[in-house]
Amino acid sequence: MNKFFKKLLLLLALVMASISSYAQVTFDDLKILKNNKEPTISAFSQKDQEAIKGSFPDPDYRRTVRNKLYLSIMEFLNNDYSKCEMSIVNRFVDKINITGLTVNQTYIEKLLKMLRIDNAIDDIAYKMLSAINQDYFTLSEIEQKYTDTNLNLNSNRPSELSELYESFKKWPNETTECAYGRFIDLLENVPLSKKPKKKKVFKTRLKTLASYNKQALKASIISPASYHKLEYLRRHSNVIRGELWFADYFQTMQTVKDSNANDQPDNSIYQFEKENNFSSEHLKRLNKISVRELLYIKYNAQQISQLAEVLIKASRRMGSDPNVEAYLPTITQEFTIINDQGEKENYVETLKLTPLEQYNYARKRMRKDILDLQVTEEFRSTDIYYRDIVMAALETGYITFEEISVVVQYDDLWNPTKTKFEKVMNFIFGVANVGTFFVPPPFNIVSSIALTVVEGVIDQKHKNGADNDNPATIID
Amino acid sequence: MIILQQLLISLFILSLSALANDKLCIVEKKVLIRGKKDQYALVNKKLKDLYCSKKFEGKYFKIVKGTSDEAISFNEDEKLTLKAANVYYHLTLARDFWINTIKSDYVKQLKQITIRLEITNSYSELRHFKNEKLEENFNNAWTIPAGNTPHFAPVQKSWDQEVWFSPIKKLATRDTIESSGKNPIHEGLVAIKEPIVDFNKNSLLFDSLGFIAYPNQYQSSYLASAITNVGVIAVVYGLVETSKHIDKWFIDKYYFIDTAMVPDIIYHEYSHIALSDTMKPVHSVPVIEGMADYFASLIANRDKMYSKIKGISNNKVRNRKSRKFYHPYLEEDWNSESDFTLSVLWKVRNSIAAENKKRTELGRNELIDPSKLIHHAHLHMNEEADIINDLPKALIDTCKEYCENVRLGTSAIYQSFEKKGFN
Repeated sequence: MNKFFKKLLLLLALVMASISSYAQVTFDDLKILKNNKEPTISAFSQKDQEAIKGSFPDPDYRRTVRNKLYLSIMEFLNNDYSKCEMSIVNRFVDKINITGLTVNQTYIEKLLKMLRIDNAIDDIAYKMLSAINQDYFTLSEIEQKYTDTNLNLNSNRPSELSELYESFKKWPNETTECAYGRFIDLLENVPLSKKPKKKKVFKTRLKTLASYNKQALKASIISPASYHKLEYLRRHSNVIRGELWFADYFQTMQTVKDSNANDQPDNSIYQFEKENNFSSEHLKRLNKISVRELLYIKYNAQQISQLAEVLIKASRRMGSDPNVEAYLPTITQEFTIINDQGEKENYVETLKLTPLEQYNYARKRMRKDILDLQVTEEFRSTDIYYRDIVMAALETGYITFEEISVVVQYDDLWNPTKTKFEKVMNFIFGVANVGTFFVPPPFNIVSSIALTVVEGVIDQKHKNGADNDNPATIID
Repeated sequence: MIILQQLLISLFILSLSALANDKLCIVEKKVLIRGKKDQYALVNKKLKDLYCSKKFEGKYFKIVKGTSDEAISFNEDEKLTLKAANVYYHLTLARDFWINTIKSDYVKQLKQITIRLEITNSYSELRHFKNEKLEENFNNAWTIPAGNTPHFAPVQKSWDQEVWFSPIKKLATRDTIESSGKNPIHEGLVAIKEPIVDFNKNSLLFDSLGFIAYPNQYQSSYLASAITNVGVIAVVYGLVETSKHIDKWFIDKYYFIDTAMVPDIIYHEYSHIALSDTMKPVHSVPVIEGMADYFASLIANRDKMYSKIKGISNNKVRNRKSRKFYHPYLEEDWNSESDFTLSVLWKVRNSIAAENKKRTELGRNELIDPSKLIHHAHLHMNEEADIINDLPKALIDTCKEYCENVRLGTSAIYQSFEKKGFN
């Protein structure tokens, strides 16, 4: 019994050790922060890029700064039990300060931009760190401004309001208590007079919090400094408004980034900045979220792997995977007939698909795979777009940048992309067709016929091969 | 002793004459060079690798007349020597292209090929030549496979692959055309028929309903408008029917080609030879013809192949940029002269070239040389290859062997085929 107990203890110790070593992030692990997924900088302007490029000409200094940021992130990931994002900037500032420079928000922002230009971090990491940087220095300024007013708090009087602001009676220390985490808790506990629509919950909570903050200040539950900090976070913090947390982003990236890439590093990236900028494209003109950022916002690591798997299967089925030998698919149907003698006879019909049918079969099957995935529990409340599939495949390293231009056309089968020319022509003909109603007879007949002829001629010239009715195919 | 001396002397003379035969000369002769549109010029060009025998026989080509085995002499009549020089010159250009640009090892090791001019006989698999009185050929050129007479034939004979050019003959074509509406006027009228007829039908219906609802108001105008509507419909139908019978207006009166004088045709036939390691020129098949057209178009550097040459050919063009879409009837032998396969290969070539451009701009290697892709694809095919199955499969298999990025290459090939309506 004693022996068994000892063995059990040893096993437990081993398990604990393996868990703790798994959780520890090494400096080498931080290599995944290096940007190899976003060739274009979309987080700040071209003008800023040019200005920053000239500011830090010394490559040694740039390398030192990069290592200091990586070290700050490593410490944040390994040491902070509560993972306070603000501590990344805090540690980074401390490390930069050693050099004897005046370190302020602007300087740190410049360094972050420099690191982004050097591809030491990507746009997502830059945006998060930049937002934390702004919050860190602004909150420090508020702290300094209201330092003497943090007195006579009525913290002992029990009330609902007092309970709500319990975490902010003393401002979090950013090591064991995080301002961001507590602010999110506060937001989630703010009582709402009526239930808002799902999409508006966050905004309504932020709005409602304003009056509670005022009441808490009035009731001396929180100090003026805390009040102004809370108000700043409520009104201006991009970290609070953002949908990604640095630790989560890093963890997801650790699981998925280049997980399907070949073991050999991708030496084919020669002029990275000129690669296809699909991952950096903004979803809408006024929306600043990029395709890659959305992938990390919408999906967790497992989901991203599942999305990438859809394209892996499609690529194998169409025979485009260099590591997989795929044969032409065949359709087989078995029949049993009863002959004149009343005996059962079997026969089999087999049809070998053509290469183009194989290609279209793989694309149609991929569409079905997407739908199958959509109805699973994991994806129940998320709409899967083909764009997400391509981005997941790129993120996991299954496809490379140069393959994007052909891979994005796979969904044209069910979601054909219209060229700019087609869009313009459709608009022109639409307007012209309506215009014929206002033309007096008999010119209306003539103009409508002329329009039909011109439309027909243009359509004929720009006829899409995918619309061809090929009677020899069964999968088009 | 005297006998031995005589033997030695005769051996010396024989070896001297052999040396003279093997010695190569460069001779300048007039050949046809295409100009703009249907124009051409006869330009002096150097014919290389010719044996110094004052005949059109060289290391790689021997030009003969008809079924003869003797090379055409420089002293033959002017027309024949012009054709012989022209064929020799353009064949040499084609051979150089296959060796230097395509880097074909197969072409490099090819021995002398016999080229027959003015041959009217058809090819016989058993006897080499069919009796010309039974089946005469004009306005044609073709490549024949190597062969030999069967073992039971009284006279045994074998031959290598050869290129044959038959003589020119003016054939009256207009009279043989049966009208079926293949003319631009008829096709244009068919396109506008439907909207015009629909418009008038709707107008007639609208007026009729108006007349039923308000007979007094519509009484005066109804009849006139009904007559107009019905009249327009009748006229349109009449024009469509009549225009079916004017095909002749759009066809040349005569058909003629002096194949030995058309450079594109010479390149095409040599391409058959160059591809014959796997695609034997046994019969005319769209894929084989398309492959030969593709390489001929590269040598000629022309989009519109085999176009008219004033007084020499009024052949129909094959356009490598043709917009035609796939239809199973294009697989039939009678469609071998269509430009569809050529245009498919050209589409693939352009698509790969576009990817190459993007890659080299970024400092990468080319995905694959498009001509290497298409040339190596022929190694995956044979003379039975079809367009829908074997051609894309051969290209994809070749890409898997040689493309720097297989997914990019295969997808580009699939998408090129999709653009040509294979879906």
